[in-house]
Amino acid sequence: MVISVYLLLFLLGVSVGGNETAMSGLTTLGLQALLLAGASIAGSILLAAILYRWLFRPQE
Amino acid sequence: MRSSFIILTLFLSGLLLAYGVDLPIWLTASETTVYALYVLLFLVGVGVGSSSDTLIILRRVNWKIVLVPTAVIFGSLLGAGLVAHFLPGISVREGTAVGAGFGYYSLSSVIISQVYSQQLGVVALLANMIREMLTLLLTPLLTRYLGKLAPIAAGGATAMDTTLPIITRFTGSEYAVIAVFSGLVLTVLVPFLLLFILG
Repeated sequence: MVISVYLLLFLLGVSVGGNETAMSGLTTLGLQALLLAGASIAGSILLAAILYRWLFRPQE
Repeated sequence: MRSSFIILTLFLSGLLLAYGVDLPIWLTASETTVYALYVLLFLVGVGVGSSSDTLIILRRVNWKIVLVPTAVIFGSLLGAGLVAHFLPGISVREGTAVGAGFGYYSLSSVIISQVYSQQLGVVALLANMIREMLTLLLTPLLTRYLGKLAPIAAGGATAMDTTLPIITRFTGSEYAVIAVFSGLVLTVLVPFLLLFILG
């Protein structure tokens, strides 16, 4: 499992390194990634916080 | 965390190698990656199936628990889609696909680079790695201010493995069951959602 994941990600690196368009925009891709990660977490925890208050929190 | 580092190092060494020298075609050909992906998907199935905890956890499922991965799916896709709407150079569909990785960076990046584009595959790799790292860092704060489901939601698919120890430590063992269940459902859904969004 672990070895095949390592191999796959190495291969993805190989394809990206050989792709000039991807290499020239690496900073942009990183910034997009950061914003998308933040937004995915924010959306998830917002709904999870509502769910927790609604159904999971121990009642006083 | 350590495996994220190894993976990032391997990705970067592949990247620099291919950028620096001309590699043989069999290595850069997309078929090589497809077969490696099939192997990975098979191993994901084996991993889920062979875990003896899976059945025990599924038996303890209460209807409320199903709402946890559901909240993560809608939250991730809507959050990522919304941000992508305001970002230049990335469409709402592409952003949603990155969000649908739920932190499972290895699988989502490989599937996206295979069925869609390598650029988006790289975004998915980085975004989902960042998601895992942020979850590891923010779990104490999230638990304290937003409740015990918040770190499970932030972790997404990783809540069943890499972020499980820290989540369990801060939320308690009854929430570990919810974390594993939610992570398991999301892990299984990643390939289907990606093909649905990008296909």
